[in-house]
Amino acid sequence: MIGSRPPDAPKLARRRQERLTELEPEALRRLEAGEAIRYDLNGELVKEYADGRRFVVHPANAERPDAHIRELLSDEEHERIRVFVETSEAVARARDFGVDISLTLANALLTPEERWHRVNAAIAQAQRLQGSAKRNRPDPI
Amino acid sequence: MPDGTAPIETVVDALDAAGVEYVLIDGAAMMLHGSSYVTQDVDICYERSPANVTTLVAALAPFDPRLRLESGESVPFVWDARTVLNGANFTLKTSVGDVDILGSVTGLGSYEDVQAHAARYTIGAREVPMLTIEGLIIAKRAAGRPKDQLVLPELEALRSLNPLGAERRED
Repeated sequence: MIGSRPPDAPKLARRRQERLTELEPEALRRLEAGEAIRYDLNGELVKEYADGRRFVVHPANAERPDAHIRELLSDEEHERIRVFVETSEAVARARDFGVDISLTLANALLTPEERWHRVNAAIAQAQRLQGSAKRNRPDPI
Repeated sequence: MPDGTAPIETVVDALDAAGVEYVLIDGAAMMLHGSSYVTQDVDICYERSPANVTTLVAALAPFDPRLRLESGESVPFVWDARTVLNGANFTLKTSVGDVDILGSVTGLGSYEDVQAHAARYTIGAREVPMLTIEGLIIAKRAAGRPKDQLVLPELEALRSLNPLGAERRED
């Protein structure tokens, strides 16, 4: 169970309603008809399905129906994270220990594939640094 | 030949293609669980039967494994099943990056004990056998080194956060 307080249901419903009224009538009609729609959200291309799932799509893949970078969190998930961060004893202990939990939260919210790429990048970078250190080592004369 | 830009991918795919019995442990597993720790190598715990060790040796052979010393230097050695069976834990420098192979993990035990704290995680098209957060916490707590103690609070926070569903787990 995450946190000890339930998400604020009326607030979430209000946010959802606000967002739906922001959509163009045509987009709203398509969404209600079960189609996926695309729109710009803070400069990112977002694809939204009728069931509420939202994905960020790379502009280069705008025409590919299954392509996406990451799944956007729903309002409910945002609320759960907020409650978790505010109330979790484990997070409080980590903070007391000096751990920057915001970075951990950001990592935990990446998709498994994104984390996989992070591991690849970290090890490859370590390799490059080792190679560079070896090349720049002074001659043992 | 691998170009070294996808070390974990290359190693895991080679192990899976050969059918090696192993579990991904330590830093890479921590990162995949969402830790902000930055690993420099791929660590695995492997099953110690002669058949599996033979398969493991064959799977990693194309990457020219050399013995990695504490100084970071590496020395050539005989990379065969007999060598691995006569030892247990090896720190390797390979053409795709550093790879540590462990016969057992402190705090957990042999491969069979490690497997009891592992699960198969779906990452893209892969099914990766990996220590659970709980398993990582037990291992780090038992290892007791300062660098292990430092990551414990974060792992414990991640354990609480895990139900957010940022990962897909299949037992």
